Amino acid sequence: MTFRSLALSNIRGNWRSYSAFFWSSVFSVIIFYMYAAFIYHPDVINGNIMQAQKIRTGMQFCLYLIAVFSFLFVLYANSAFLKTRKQEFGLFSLFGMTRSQLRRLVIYENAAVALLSLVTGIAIGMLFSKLFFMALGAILSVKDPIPFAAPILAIALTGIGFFALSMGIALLTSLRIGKSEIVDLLKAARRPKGDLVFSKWLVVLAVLCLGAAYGMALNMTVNTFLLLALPILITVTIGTYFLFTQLSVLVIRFLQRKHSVFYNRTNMIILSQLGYKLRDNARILFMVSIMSAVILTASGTFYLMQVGYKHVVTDFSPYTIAFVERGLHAHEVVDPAQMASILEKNGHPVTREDKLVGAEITKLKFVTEDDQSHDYSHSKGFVISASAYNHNAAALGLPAIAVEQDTVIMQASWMKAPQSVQGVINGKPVDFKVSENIRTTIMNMTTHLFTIIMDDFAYSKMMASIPEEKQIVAYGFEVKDWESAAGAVDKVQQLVPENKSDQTHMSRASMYQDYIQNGNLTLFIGLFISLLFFIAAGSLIYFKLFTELQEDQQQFRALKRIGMTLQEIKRISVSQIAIVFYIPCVVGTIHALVAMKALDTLMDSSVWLYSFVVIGIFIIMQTFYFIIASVSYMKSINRPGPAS
Amino acid sequence: MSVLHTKGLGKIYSSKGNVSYKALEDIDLKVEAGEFVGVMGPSGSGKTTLLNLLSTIDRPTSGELEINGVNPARLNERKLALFRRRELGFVFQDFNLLDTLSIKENIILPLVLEGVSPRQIDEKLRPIAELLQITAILGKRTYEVSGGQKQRAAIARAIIHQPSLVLADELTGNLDSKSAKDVMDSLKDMNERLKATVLMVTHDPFSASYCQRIVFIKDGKFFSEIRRGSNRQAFFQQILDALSVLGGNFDDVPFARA
Repeated sequence: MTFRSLALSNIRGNWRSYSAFFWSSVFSVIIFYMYAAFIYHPDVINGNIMQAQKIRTGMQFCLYLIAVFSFLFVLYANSAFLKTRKQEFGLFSLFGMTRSQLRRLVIYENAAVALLSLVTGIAIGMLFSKLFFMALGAILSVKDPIPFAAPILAIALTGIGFFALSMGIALLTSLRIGKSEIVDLLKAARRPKGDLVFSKWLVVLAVLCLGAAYGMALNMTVNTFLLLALPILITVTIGTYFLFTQLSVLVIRFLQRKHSVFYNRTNMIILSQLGYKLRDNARILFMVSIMSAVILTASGTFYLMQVGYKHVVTDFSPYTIAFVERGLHAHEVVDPAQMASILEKNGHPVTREDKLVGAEITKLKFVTEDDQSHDYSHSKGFVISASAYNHNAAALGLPAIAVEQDTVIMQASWMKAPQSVQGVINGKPVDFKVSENIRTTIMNMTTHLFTIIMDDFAYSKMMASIPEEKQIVAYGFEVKDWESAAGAVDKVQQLVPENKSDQTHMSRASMYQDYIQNGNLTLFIGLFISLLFFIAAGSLIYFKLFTELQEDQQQFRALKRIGMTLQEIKRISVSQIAIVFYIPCVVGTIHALVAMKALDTLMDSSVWLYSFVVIGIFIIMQTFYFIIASVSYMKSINRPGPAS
Repeated sequence: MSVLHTKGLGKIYSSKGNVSYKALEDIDLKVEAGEFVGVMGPSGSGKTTLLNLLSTIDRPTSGELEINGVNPARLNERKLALFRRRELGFVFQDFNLLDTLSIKENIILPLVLEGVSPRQIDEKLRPIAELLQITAILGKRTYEVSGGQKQRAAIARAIIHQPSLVLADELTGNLDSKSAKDVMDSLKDMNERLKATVLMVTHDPFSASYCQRIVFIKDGKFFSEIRRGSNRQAFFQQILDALSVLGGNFDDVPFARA
């Protein structure tokens, strides 16, 4: 037996513990490879895919993130794994294996696992990269599908990068072994568990922190958001940490003291073991909880922002297509008939059209309360009647207004309303007293920055003196399925003569589409990263579970001897696994729900349904993991051990 | 009334290569209620196999086994586990106490699993703990007490649910001589005062001298049987004589088993 074959047979022997580590590494490799394959895809590098350029930097950033994450994960998994093998190392040293040989053994083992996971990961990554490209293509609205490619650079980067990373970690961890006495190594597994202790003060701190965080989150307003965000984050993190390390012990101890619960059949074993399982896994459970909370909150926030943006965009631009014509019957900008037929042909027929007739006001000057005059002569205003406003507002579902005699209402939500407006209409100077400033918009903004609404009587008196060809008409059109009408609207825009394009506003659909596209892309990338986190989180728990397997096996064998039925053993292990798997899920969900509630009040729109879907998916995935873990755990527990 | 009754009990291990090994052959054993019986034999004589069969964690390939009138071979796995839990008590060489539980919780485990009410549990625990002199350590954890105390706790666990038969396997194997004596005294107390029926497998003549009767087996077969008179010292000498006749290797201490 050579040294290398010893390393290989060690891996085979420890396969069950190695497999969680292996698959998590494989998964990191897959994700890393797929991102790299996209970044170094020949079509992306050559600029054949326009949209890809925008996201390349984003993807690159993700790549770094994955690398950092993989590093931390592998480091953790490795050191945890080595800890469980102390006894084995002790035995090797007892037989005279030198420290450097022991280190070499660990490095060989790690190299073998790293190579194995690299090959598997890249192979699976290649298999799925086409799917990944297809999904990216769909999100980016690329016309031709992105062809399959396995860029050498991507493979090399993944291979060298990951191997170097694994070896670095192996070197790091191997330095740590062989430092303790052989006796201690041999005894490592038999070390007593110690007492379950908690500090009263830390429990109080946990409760206070969580209470404070939730209180702050639920009472957060738009103004206090920036101020409170960081304190909330800190208190939640501290609270959750002590929740797992201290509060959990308190709860278990409390239940143990309640004899009606504790002395009830298998409860005694479930609870007493659970106490140690929770204590020993507190840090992992804490990390997984925070991770879950972040994933859930981020995806919820994301959805909220998309919904919010739709509101913003429709509030600001009530119509998909809007333009302004000079002259009551003029059609110099767009011919309505031609436009309608184009829209019809492209599957987005006009569903509503409105027009506003009015006069143009120039040489604007605003007088503020303190009698200061502000010159706005570089911008123009649009003067309409109250009835015209109300007519359109009713069509858009906005509240009607009433204008008092001798005053006007201004629509300029972004500024403080002046006391009066001076300007020139059709060559005559005017001076209006402003009674109110309203926020609602009834027409997309084109050439006229301000809208001034007059009472009907004064308006018609003024308009009588303005010839029809000097009057201004603003047209607004709404189309079917405007959210996807960017292409059709673009064709309409092409009808507009070059010099008139400032008289149009047709960008709503394309703005929205861009936003959604970017959003989907971010979501997609985020989803992949979340998935990575998720798999890693599950693996960590799974991993921990199997490092304690030997001990558990021994206990269950003893219990079986004194007459514990298989069903009872199953109940004990499955309920423990369930608690360990679902507790972080539940804590994360509660955190996320509070965050969503806070966001709800902040953004003034409800997303509960969406949140529940995300949480549901999360729980289903966790359940899936839980089932795999408990099935394989039960299999190992039932496996007949060495002669008893 | 006999608690344990075996007739022609045998166990043959066969491996894939068609090599079969007779671990136990034609054992007839009868243990009456309240008896304290020892089983002795050199290494490889089939002691452990016999104990495994009696513990119902292994099934015989021939012969009949009856414990308290029930043939465990006829029970399914679940019923068998419940049978072990109710009719048998176990004391192991390596204690097999759960280190996540306190001494008290370890002792009352069989009752808790049966769903006995906490009040009744306390009522049953108190006299036994006092008899075994472990009342003071009930609240301690397994790693805080000595081996002898652990083994006495294990005896309490084996006996608290009043099983028909207590099976002890090399229970002094991990103990020093002082602790071994304490533990054997305790077991004897249990046998005499609580009328517990005990079957003990051992290779240690000193421990065996506490028994009323010792059955010797060799090469998987019944070899001889001796009964104790009134004097334990004399019985000890008798055992040594019997062992020298029996021959074989006795100085091996089997390692801690799970």
